[in-house]
Amino acid sequence: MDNNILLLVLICLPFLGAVLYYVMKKTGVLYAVLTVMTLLMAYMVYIYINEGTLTLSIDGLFGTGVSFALDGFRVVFCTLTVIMWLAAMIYSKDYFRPGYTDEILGKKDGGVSTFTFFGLLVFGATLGMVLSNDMLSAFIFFEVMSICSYPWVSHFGTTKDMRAAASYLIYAVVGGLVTLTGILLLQHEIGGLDYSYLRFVGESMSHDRKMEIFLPCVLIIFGYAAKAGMFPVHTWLAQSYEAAPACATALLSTVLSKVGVIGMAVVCSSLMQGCYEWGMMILILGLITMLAGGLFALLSINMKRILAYSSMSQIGYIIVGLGTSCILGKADAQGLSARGAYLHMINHSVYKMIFFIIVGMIAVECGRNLDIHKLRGWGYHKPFLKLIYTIAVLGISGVPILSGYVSKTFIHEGLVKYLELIREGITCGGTSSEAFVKTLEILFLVGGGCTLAYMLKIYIPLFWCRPEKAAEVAQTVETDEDTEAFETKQTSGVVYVILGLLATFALIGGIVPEYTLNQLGNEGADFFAIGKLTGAYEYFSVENLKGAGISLAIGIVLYLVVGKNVKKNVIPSWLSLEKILYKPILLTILPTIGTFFMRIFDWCIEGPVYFIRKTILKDNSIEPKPHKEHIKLQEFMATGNLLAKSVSFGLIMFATAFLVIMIYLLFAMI
Amino acid sequence: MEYKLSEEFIIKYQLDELGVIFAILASAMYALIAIYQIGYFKKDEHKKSYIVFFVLSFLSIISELFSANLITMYISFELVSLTTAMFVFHDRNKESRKGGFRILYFSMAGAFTALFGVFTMYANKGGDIPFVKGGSLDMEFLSGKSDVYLIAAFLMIIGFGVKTAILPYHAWLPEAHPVAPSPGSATLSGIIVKCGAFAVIRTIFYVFGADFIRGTWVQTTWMILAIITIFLGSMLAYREKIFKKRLAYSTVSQMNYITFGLSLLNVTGFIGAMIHVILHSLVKITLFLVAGVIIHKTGKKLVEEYDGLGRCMPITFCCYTIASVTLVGIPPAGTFLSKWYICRGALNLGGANHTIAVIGMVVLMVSALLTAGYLFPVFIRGYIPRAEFAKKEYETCEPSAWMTVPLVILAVLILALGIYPSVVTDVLAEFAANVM
Repeated sequence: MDNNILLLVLICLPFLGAVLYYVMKKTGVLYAVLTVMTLLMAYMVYIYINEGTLTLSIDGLFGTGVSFALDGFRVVFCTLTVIMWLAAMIYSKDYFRPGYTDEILGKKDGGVSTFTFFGLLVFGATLGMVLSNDMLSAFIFFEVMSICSYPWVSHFGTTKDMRAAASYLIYAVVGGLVTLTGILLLQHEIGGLDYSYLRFVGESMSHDRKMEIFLPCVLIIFGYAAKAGMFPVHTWLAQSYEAAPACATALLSTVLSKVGVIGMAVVCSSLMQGCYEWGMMILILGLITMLAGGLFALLSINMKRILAYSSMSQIGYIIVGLGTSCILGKADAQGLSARGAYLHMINHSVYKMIFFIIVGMIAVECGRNLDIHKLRGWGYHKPFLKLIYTIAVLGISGVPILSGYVSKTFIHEGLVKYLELIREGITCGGTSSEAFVKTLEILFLVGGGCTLAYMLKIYIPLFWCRPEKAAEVAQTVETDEDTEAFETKQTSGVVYVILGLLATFALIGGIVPEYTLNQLGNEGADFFAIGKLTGAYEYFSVENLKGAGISLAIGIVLYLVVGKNVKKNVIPSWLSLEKILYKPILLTILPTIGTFFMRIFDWCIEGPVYFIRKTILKDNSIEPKPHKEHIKLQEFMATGNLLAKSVSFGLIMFATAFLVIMIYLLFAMI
Repeated sequence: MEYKLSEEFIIKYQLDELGVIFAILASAMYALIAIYQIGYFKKDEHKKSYIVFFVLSFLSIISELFSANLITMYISFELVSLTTAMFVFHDRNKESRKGGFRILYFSMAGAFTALFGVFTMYANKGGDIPFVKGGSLDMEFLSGKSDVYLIAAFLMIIGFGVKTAILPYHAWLPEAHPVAPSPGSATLSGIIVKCGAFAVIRTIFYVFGADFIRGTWVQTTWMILAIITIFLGSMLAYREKIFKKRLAYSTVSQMNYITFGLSLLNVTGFIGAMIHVILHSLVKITLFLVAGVIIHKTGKKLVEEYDGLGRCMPITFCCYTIASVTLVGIPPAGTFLSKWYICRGALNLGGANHTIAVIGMVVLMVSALLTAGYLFPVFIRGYIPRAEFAKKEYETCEPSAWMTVPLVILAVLILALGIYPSVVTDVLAEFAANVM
């Protein structure tokens, strides 16, 4: 059998699984699909190592044809997707156990069947998007993914959740349509959408030409950036993450946001490579995303919301990496910033999966209100979780010997390299002064500091405060909770194994990056159009450690000054772009104007008629009387009910026969 | 087949690809609606008269689709209008009379506008006007009095456009649909309006020829009218509370996707329009049949009342969801493809009308957004009722198999066309290249 067809199998299997699951309603189907997917993915990795890149294109599917490719980057990312889905789906069994979601929803199964069904659909679509080898098929799968993940957000169905879900859906649809417009324009401008063609065009294109396709590219990344949560299209993110069940949030944060980043990376690494204006735009937007996310996380008190803003902030990192790599282009031979962005995608996924599984555990025990002050001391007597969580917190903050340090250092090094180039007088086609870039770098370090600060803010009350104070709270909430009921809420052992493995990856990646992350990074080199990192890289040089050190110091100061002292939600509820800008414009002002003008057109024929009838030509309404003939006809018709049935039946037969003849004729003719 | 009314006016029929494509669509849809209405009209006192007109309308449609010259098509077009107007009179109360007269007046206005064009053509041509691919009138003949013929073409576009709901003549749809019985609305919105599109295709591509119209003021005006109507339909649908009226406005908007695609006068746009003819027909019939099921089982007509219905009628709402996602054009669902072709056609359009075409593309996207805005809340509310309805117990009240089976068949067809549309698009592409 040809191995290429396995790509299609990989994508279709979850869809088939979803249909089977819907029909049979058995959890067994889910596990079967997950098992087969894992094995298949392992086999694909094996094939890739032996045979190299696989490609597959199918004409006619979806009308426009689709094409897939499995290169190094896709292998890594698909494996990541499969692992994340495996973790989330296995964990979902714990999350949807009796006593939590079923009580909130009033449904017997707690909505697990809805979650699983759409989970499988999104799984297939995500793999499809990642494997796609041209912009249009990527977009098609991306849209399927966006729409199918809607039921995750609307899962609990309260008014607040529905508002969040509506926001999610509006972003999905608007983003999709804007992206589609961009793709149409781009197709018209350059005449092809295949990734390799885009790369070729991007390299041979002059700077002026790049500016001509600037608008289409902005439109294209709009939809993807919205999914990634980039400023200024991030407003759905925090509320949706908060509304979704923890296992769904985990996937939204670990995989779906990265898929948005991939969409952006395609444009950045091919068409707009080396375009200063584009790179600077992405870089600044990324920086704002990073800082805004960090700041909001620092000022929030709901644990899930903090983690949601944290996702936003980390995506900001990745986007900064992409932007820097765009500016530097070929000047950055090792592709440090793009490599950092790419590795951070992986690292962030791993850490966020740990965080959200733990959030899910807390939610099952303590309900949906995850105010960190109420959760004080939750993990004081849970040594294993404490260890895992410590690794995750330190890792995501970029502490050396954990994998987060490696990726963050790369991104930082990219910025430093840019600074050095400017000092040497190489402007990379831009006009930035040294001071400006220096400011960017400092802001970047502050953003890094925020990460540690808001992570400590959750971590210290949760794991290092004595639970005595919390016990009172818990008792007042659930006084008649007997021990047996509490037992059922314990997490199963498999989940601990998953957490352990994820944390191990973080440790190994950080301690020996030469053998792990280096390899992964080189696999992604082709996709991001960067050179391979050969030879030893000084991961723990003084320069690199200095950056991390400054960042961490800022973090500790921020925590002590701000994070520790925020006792209630200090972000005013009106302070959101969505509330003050997007919603009024999109839902009130524009429709009102549109309706007003359209009503005028609507009345352009009838208005005069009405006017005349009210003024000059007043007519009396005439009530029709039944004619004699009509009554006779009625009587005649009433006698034969048979008649009606036979006429109706005759028509069906006639139309069917006619259809067959016509189809025959059509094929005979053409 | 021929029958001479007079020396000039000959009733003549022929069989060609365009007619066959439309006839396949119409007969398949009529068969499905016929099955559905067995369930729908079970206890209706007027069903016999309805069925008679249903059959008659089918015959007149077939007559229109297979007509071989302009006058035959015109007469059949009138027949279609008259027979289908009777669907709207069905309930025999004040509203239905109002709606029925509305559709009659508008049909007449449209038909006379078109008739003016038809007579102009016959008066000047002095002989039969048959349908030939790429236009039956030769350029030498047209070049003499091109202004008169342009006006005639324009009047025919607008006049036959009464069924495609183009701007001045769109207003009958929102009045007629809510009062007609649902199978009737489905027929009107799914098939009858397509006959308007068919008539326009015949006039422009088979009589005048696309080259004659291209780049003239007729094309410009046609495009502008189509664009405005697209926006008008979806904007007013977004603001509409009555479900069937909302769907009617949606038809106004969606039909003008087709008109816009045709008005581009290039192959890509034409393919897009034809794909949209097929898909919109399937989708809109599904939507109206679903509306019929809801009215039949619960009597609810306002969108606000649909909370939790998705739990009562899972199959019906599943079909509704598939149809509405398709209509918005979220890939891979079908209308994504028609939009893709139409937009590409718009971008490829050179010359003076390029700017308008690009505006049209943007409007198409905005309209798709509004489509999501007016279709999605229905099923979202249906599946996830608002808090005050959430705790209610929902009993299953799925309709009888007569009504669900056609819905399921339609939904499966829609899905299949979305995933593998090449079966249809290949045929259409080959055909479209010949027409230009």
